[in-house]
Amino acid sequence: MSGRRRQLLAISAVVLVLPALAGCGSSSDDAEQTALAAVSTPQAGAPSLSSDSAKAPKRCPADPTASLRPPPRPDAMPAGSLMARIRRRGVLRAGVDQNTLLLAYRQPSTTSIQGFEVDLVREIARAIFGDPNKVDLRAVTTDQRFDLVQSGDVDLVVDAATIRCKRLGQVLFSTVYYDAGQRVLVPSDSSARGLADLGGRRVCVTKGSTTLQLLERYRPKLVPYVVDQRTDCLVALQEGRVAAISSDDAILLGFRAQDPSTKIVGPRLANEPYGIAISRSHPEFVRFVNGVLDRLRRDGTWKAIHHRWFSGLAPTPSPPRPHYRD
Amino acid sequence: MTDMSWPRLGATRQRLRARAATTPGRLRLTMAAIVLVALLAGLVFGALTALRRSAADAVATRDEPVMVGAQRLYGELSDADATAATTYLRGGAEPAALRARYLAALKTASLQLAELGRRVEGSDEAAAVAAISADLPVYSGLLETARANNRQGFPVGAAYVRQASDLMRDRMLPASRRLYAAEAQRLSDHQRTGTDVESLIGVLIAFGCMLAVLVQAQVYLAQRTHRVFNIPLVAATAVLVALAAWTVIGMASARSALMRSQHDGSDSVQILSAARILALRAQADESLALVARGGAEQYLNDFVQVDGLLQPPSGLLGDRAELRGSSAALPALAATWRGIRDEHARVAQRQHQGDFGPAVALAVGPRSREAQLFDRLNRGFDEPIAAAQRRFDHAAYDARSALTGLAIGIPLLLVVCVALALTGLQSRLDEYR
Repeated sequence: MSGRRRQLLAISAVVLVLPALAGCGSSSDDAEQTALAAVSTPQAGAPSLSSDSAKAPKRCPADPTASLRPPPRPDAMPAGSLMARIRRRGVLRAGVDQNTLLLAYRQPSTTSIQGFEVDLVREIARAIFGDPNKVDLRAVTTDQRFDLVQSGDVDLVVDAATIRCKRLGQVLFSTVYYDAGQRVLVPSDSSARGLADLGGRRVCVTKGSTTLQLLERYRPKLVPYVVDQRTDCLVALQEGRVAAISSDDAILLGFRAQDPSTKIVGPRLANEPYGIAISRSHPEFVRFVNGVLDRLRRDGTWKAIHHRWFSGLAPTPSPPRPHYRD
Repeated sequence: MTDMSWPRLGATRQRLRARAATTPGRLRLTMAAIVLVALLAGLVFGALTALRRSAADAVATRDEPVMVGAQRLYGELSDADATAATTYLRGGAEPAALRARYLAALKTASLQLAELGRRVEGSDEAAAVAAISADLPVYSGLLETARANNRQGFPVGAAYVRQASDLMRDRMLPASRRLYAAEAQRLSDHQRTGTDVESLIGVLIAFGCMLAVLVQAQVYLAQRTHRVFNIPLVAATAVLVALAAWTVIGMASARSALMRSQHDGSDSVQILSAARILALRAQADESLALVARGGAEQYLNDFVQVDGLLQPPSGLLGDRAELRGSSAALPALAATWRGIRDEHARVAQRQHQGDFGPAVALAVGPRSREAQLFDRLNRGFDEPIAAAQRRFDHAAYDARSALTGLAIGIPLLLVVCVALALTGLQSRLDEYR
């Protein structure tokens, strides 16, 4: 056996998945082994990072949505601040979803990500650069989004993230930018009028979302059907694998827009105030973003953006009122 | 064995010894021995040739075509997956060429499945074919749903694309891989059976015994009759030597033809097809990395891995022993792959900088050089694979025709040899009447 052959066998061994090696234990040709190595399948699906791994703060604040007050000069970007660093870098890195119609989704015909949340990101970029297009939109999954903020891979995450006390141990949140509520989506011919009517049935929830805890309260027990990405729930409903989807109304509105054979039922089960997630090491950036949000609420931009995406689906409300803890 | 047999055996031995004491008796015994040994040699030879022939036939008419079919199936499924991801990335109404390529891959895959379903042996292989056949309509259904949603601008289409790709990568490709592994194993088992040397030694021992009997008979006759040469016996010996030589040469040439069919033929087909599959995998990786955006690492890493497996000198497109016969086609393929790698680096850099739109345009856009190169690489494999297949067919034909010649010629010569020997001995025996 020549040196090169041995080397190739070594390569094969590295790439070959182990069960396959065990499967054809008898020694066979180089060509076969190498070819087999080539046709080993790459692993599908990203390795999921743990969610909610960080400990919750010792004491929950009375109002978890109370954020940090904008500074007297909200558009200042002092040296050493994250804003200054982003400005030097030339692009704002934001984690968004790419599959949630209305909030943040990839438009198949233009292949760009757009939506209510993307417009907010662009407004923040405008505040930093004076140019709403200096954004790097990274698609994130519900499961991994806070880890990406913590590691600094993205500057912020705008991804239908509910401000929860438990999450405050991982990230800081801006003031509330969207006041969502927990609802239920069922096929339009379903007789269910809420989760209470779905005992024993399968209900779709997204991995790492707040909905899972909510389902556990119901008796008889609902069977959670957990998926990686939000739209996988709509696929599961359309394929008949689940009887209902439990999620936020903002998300469900987008589902209904994609499938007229569905309906949103039942009362608001829980408030889901959305906040922009920012690293705990950068409170100055939280204050800066809150300043931007304040301006959007005041000058009517927030309403305009809401109207742009939700008109015809939901009435345009007043922007959610900011709460500050200092 | 009863207790009576020993005395009986002893009696037989005594009778034989008594006969051997007289010359006619000795000659008759020699004739019987020649017929017996020739029959034995004929049987051993026949069994071995039948074994080798059936192995060579199986290699040529079943194993290799089915192995190639299994690999082809894997290739078509990979092609469908890569094309589906690329089509999704292009967005909106998909280009007609991509749609046609996806449909062609799907069609070939299902034809392949039907063909394999008829020809595979073994329950595991049949189960793998059945599993892929059952998943294929589900897979295409998911992609058609994705397509309908994409055309309406609904992001749920992406979820259907992902589900389809997961089905492909988690279930269909692994089943296809199992099928290919089993078939490749069967092929190499038969190629081994067709080329081993141990059983040839058995035939040579049988011929050696016959030669010994013939020589001994001649020595005995020379001593008894003071005539040095018995012409028919000498002729019989010559025929036997020629026959043994033909057997050795024929078997050796069949063996070398079969080995050639492996080295120059089926090995090349396997390596080239594997390289083509890797290229398709890299293409799917490139698209999926752009589709995934945030979670692109795994696909980018996989691209690097594919590059390591393909890149000359040590990779599949290098100067490999198995590809000696395809060496003319290799430099062009390797150059195309290097071009893809350079384009990939540009795409990855754009993606890293967050210029997502330009990255997509570079990778899959209508004027994308990378897409053209991938296309050229994919088609570039057709000719060398077909050439390797032709080399396999020729060598396998040579092996089988060498064995066919032996299968007819050797028994004939054996009969001639025995007839000559018996004639020679009978003429001496007649002198004692």
